[in-house]
Amino acid sequence: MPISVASTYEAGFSAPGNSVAVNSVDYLDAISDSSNSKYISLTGSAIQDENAIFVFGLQTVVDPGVDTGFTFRVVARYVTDPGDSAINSFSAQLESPLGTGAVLGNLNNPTFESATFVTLSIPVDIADVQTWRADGGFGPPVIGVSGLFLNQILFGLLAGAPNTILDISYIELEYPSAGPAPDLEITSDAGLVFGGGLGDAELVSDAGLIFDFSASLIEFNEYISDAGFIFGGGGLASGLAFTSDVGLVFDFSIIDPVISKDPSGIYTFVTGQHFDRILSRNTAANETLDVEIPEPFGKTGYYGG
Amino acid sequence: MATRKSSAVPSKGEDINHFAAIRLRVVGNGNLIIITYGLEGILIQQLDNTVMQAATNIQPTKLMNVSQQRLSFEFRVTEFGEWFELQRFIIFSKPIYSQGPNL
Repeated sequence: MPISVASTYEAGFSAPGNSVAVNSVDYLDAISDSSNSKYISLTGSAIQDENAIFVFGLQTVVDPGVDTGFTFRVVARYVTDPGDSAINSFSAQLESPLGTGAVLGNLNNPTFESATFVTLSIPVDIADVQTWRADGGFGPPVIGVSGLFLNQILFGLLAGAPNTILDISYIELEYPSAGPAPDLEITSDAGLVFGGGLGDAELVSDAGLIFDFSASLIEFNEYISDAGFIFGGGGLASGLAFTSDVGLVFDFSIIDPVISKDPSGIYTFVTGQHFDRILSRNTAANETLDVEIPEPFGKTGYYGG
Repeated sequence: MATRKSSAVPSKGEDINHFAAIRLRVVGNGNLIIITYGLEGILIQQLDNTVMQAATNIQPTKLMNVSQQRLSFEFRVTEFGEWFELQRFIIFSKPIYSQGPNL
């Protein structure tokens, strides 16, 4: 989706050495109209090498949440007379209010010399897009507060190019459509720390929330939950230990623990069964829990005599 | 009143027996550990472990070299999830002395 310029913040070019003409009612109308009948015309100076500087505010961009696919386009034509020096600089810079933004290429000695208008496409670096976002560049264009600005069109000519002409017809910024809501992915070598003044927080996931602690220990400084703390699925692997500097306190006053408080049962031998079935008397349904027999053994009486 | 320890075979005079081997019919998972104890539970010898399978056509014979008046056999596994079913075992022994020098 392309956007064009929406406002101007400078009455004219700061271009003492160059002459500027606008083939329209004003600069904004010339640049925001995609037809080539309206354009700004910059003519080089014979005596001075000076940049032409202009500031446009771009239309508001709804942040697509995607860093790729931003392309800056300029429709321009560049004509020089034989014997004139070429353009020695032609570049643009996108800025957000808090940052210097992205330099959209420096087309020294441009190769687009053409008597007709051509479209110059310049992809924007991912890092620059991320900088705009951090600097409020996706807000409405209010200079000094927020927004995305085409800050400079630098047009510099070497002395002795009085007949070199750069016409700029249209400027736009292509930005990508918003992608699907990304999955939550947090990757950190330093771990995930919820600290400071974090109030009530809620992590919700339809697919469950999986923490992989296989590479390091779990550290809970404090865990409070009305809904309890549940190990599900594969259960708690055997051989691992809970370690705490302040002790480990389980409060079973609200719900029955999975590990029965008062296990009891009558052992009966069942052919082919290699585990113990513990009967819990804490529940009305007399639930049972199957556990492995710890180090099963059998011992004979004494032989010989 | 004297009490009597458990005994599988009635005493015939407490000869000294040489225990040479035990043959097992056992299935299971893991390593079966066999430990022999003399009277009063004195540890005598731990035999080589027997690697078990859930189904096997082999009845392994575990060798030993123990001379005792009486010998008890303990069978156990020690790792989580291990199990065994001991269906039969045969002890190879014979009396070799009627009395020892310290008896």
